[in-house]
Amino acid sequence: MEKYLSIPVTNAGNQLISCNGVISVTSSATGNVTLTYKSGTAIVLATTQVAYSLRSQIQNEISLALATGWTNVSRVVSVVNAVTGVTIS
Amino acid sequence: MVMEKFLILNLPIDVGTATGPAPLIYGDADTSAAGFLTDALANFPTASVAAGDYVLNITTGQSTTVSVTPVTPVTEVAITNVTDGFFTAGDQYRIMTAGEEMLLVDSTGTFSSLISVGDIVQNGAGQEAAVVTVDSNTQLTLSAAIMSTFPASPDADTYYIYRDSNNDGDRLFNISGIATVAYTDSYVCTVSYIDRKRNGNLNDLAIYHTADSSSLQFHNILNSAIVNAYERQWKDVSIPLVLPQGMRIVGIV
Repeated sequence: MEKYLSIPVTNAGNQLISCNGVISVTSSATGNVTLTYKSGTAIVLATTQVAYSLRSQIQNEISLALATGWTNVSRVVSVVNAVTGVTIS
Repeated sequence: MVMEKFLILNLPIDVGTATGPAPLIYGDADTSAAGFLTDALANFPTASVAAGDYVLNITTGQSTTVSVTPVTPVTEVAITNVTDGFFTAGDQYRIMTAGEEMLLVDSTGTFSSLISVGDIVQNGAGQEAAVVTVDSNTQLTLSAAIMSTFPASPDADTYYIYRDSNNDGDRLFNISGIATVAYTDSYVCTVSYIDRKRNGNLNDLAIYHTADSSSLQFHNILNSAIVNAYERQWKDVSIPLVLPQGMRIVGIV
């Protein structure tokens, strides 16, 4: 089942971010949050966070999204720190 | 069970640049004299403008015809519509030979084998008309005067031809394993997949579309369609992406 977080991005609306196939969510204490997938693809959420605040939130939201029924495809996240851009590599 | 989901995107069945019709003359109106089009930079007799020719106010989209073949002054032409303010200073105009305004001509076209009556033609400025007749391999007659080789802007010579029913332009777009859907700009949305290409490069597809009429319009529609597709039963495998009137997908790269 496909699951997405719907994350508001500055000047780019809400962006879908996959919860499937994530192997890690990493960041420094105050810097960008990186979601790394099994394939090696990585999504970086550009932000300024406080004591891993956004990383913790993203991890929790992924867990919550994957625990919902299959018809709950997208989970809208009210981010604790603004995401100013999303890059994928 | 492997569950795959697709959106059906309606892409153009033909794309090109018109080589005709060419306007007799085009420019910017100078004044708002009722019943006349005046342009100090024009010479209407030299351009062979004649009574009955088609006159389009490009700025407002309103059309009329030449009422009297111009002789003098050469910078003025009488028009059938005598409404005050039909032209105001600065309005763009073009004049087409009577009968040619509804045509789409492409000297390299292959219309006979590709195009059918009822297909929808969109020009580069987003205006649409239906195909009324397929005249030849290189010429179509349309339901509205949207094509012209000049002026360069707004773009009236680029054309995209669509068919709204099931057709060769329909393309399955896999939405399984999407990592993210990014708003690139008001003409492009980029879909990136979790799995990478065989060479290890990122696997992404950019969907080019006609301009958003409101902020993030296409991006939001695409996001909703993807989510909606996964909220459906597993056997609903391919779901058409429904776009608002006038919005079209131009291509996928």
